Amino acid sequence: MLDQGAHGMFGYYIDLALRSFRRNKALTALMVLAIGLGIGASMTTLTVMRLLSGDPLPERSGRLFYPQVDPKPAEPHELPGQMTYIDAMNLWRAQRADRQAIMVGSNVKVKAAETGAKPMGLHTLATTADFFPMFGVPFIHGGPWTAADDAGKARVAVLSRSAYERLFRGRDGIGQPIRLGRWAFRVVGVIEDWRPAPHFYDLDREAYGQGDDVFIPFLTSRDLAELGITGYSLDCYGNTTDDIHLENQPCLWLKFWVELDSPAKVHAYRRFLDNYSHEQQAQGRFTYAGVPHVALPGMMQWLDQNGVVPADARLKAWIAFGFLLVCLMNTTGLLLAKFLQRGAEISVRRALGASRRQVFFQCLVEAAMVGVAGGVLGLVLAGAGLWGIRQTPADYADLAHLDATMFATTFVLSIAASFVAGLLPAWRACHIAPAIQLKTL
Amino acid sequence: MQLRHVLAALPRHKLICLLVVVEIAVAFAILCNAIFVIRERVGQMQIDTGIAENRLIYVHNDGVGEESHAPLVERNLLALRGLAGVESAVAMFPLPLENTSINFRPWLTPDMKLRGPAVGMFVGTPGYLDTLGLRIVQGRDFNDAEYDGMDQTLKTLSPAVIVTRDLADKLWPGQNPIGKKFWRSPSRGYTVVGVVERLVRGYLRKDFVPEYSAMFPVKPVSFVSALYVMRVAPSDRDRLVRESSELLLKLNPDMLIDAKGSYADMRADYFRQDTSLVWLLALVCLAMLLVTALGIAGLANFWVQQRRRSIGIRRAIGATRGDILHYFQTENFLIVSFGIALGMALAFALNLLLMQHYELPRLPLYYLPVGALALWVLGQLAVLGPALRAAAVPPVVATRSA
Repeated sequence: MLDQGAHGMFGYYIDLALRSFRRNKALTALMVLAIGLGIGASMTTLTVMRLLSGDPLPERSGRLFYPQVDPKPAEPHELPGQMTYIDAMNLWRAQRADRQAIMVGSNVKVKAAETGAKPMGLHTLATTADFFPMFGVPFIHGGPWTAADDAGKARVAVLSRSAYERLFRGRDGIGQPIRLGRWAFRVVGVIEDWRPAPHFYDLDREAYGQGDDVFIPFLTSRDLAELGITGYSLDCYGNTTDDIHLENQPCLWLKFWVELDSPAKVHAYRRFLDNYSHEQQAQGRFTYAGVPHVALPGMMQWLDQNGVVPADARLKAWIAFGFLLVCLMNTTGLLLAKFLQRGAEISVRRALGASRRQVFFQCLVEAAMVGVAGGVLGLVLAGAGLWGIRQTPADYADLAHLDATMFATTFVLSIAASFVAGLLPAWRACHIAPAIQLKTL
Repeated sequence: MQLRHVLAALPRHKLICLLVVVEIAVAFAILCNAIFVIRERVGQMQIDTGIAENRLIYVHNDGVGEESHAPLVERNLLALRGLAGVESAVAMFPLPLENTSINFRPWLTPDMKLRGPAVGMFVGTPGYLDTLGLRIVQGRDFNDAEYDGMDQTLKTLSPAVIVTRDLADKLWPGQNPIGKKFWRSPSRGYTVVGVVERLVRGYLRKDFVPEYSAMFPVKPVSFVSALYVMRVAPSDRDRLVRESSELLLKLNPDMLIDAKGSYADMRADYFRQDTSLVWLLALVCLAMLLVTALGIAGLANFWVQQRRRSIGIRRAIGATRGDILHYFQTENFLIVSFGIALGMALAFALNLLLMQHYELPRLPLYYLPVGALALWVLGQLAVLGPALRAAAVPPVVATRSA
């Protein structure tokens, strides 16, 4: 019965709220503006901060790990951040993880197949077939190459959308050849331009720069060593005799990522790395004695260790959250002040027969309306703010888009703050005996 | 007198006062820390690279070359020097803040026991120190015979090296660095022949000292075929960027030029991310101050409305307009002051926390009074409108019912 009454009164409450807004146009506008500005600015900031310090693959990062082993001589040093060919191949061939991929990139001269085509220097990644499913890279045409292509050193390539458009200019290129250096490769797939930010799988590239444009099988790139795909950070720790054929050189140059789908598998893989190091020590390849130098950091831990989440990015995240807090407190304060003034009006309504519950509900409707109006204005302002960011020349600028979850969170927070601000005076108002308040009028 | 009235009235709006105090405290903490970050960034962006920045232009090609192309570098350099206005031209790697860099850690003894800090490697063809405008402060420049090849791991064959003063002071504190040696592998030792004042490496990293750079001499080899650097008069820069890239394309039809411009542009490009972050933070601070001011103005307005009658009574029993005005200004000053006091504690706690976990420097103490002043001024400006309105309330209101 009461509920029915309450719902039936909903339109009336909205009408009451609108009257109250109209009575105080400037102040209502001010409240909505304060909420809107707060939501808009904090969402813009949070979006950028998330781009700059965030998780590049939120759905997968928990399952991705970066194994480290130590082939260097015994003198004290940090655990290497890259692998030698021998270690990477051993771990890759062992297939102990759910998925695993070797990767190494370079700038390579790429041309369309027809004669007279101009070469372009494209970021090329030599990797293995698991790369695409492991990182969830989205394909728009064709698909990845297979494990058989890896083993067979097939001359196949996957292109990014923009490289595909530049090389084929709207023609269908699947199955067609392109040239890398002197060699012809067959295009088997095209991915959406994929730019994880930061560029987690190879941190020796600019961390927030462009993605890779061409992907070829790793063993093929070894077969065609003159392509010169030896990474952006070749680190040799002994005397070397060749800087192109790195298979047997004491050089760290390969990245190796694994996917491990459960904590038990992570544990097992860590043991596998220990055993592997013991084996290599026994063979005399790893020259240090004692406990194996191995590590298996998760993706976010790896990014953190490498300082890709810069110290002041956290400070900035704090700043953005603090700003949101300031805005929410501001809203709460303003709404509180507005409602606390209404004791008299509420008493009149109570005296005329409104129930506590109805008074309560009326206050909440009014608070929610302010919250929603502020939220909508905030949405508009955040859209404008992010549009502004996209006009700046920063590396991450074109990634600055409104995030649905983030918007929802902020919006819910702002309405919740309005509710809290509405609740307290409503509660207070409906617990004062009408007669006492009326006497003071 | 006034203060007592204000203090007596404050507890009547406990909750709202508390909210405003906390809001101002958080705003203050954020303001101090944000300005701190901005100043750190701006300081970094003003770093002196040590080279003649406004006289340099560059052409960068994609650099995928074979050793057989090396003689072409010599030919290209000769042609570039022939352009009217080009004072000198060299091929080198890298330019300071080019966003690429090769780093090595020198061994200070041939038995590879003692190792120095990470050093940025520079290599270039004859005359590159001059072209960059580097000043030798001790020892000498490379002589012609010292410009030699490189091995497969990008170590120069010539044993001569020139270091920056900061690096010399770090490796051999208090000693004459000329004639001192370091090793990059057991078979590759280098002897210091000269010291330059300053040269900043290819990119900046928190764990690298920017000024630790070492310069090596090379003759034109494929490794340095990617970056041509020319010294020109500042007014000729745009013209010569265009003319030099056209010339290189004419000489090398297959060359893919992926970047060219003045050094000033390259430097601005290196910092563009920082620039946009600084702007973003500055705008956030502004927005926050605006929101805070709107909040204070809004609340003051409510309070003035609420107290119209008591203001009228005070006016009726002798308070002047000025008294009323001052009343609201004092009230605002008190609330903001409480906020600032709490904010100082908060700002310091935040800074301490960040220092502990992320090795951020300590917030300089002078930020606190400056931030406090900013918020006091902001508070007074925000309350001025409502306070004036309050002062305008006529005494006759006292005789009317609310």
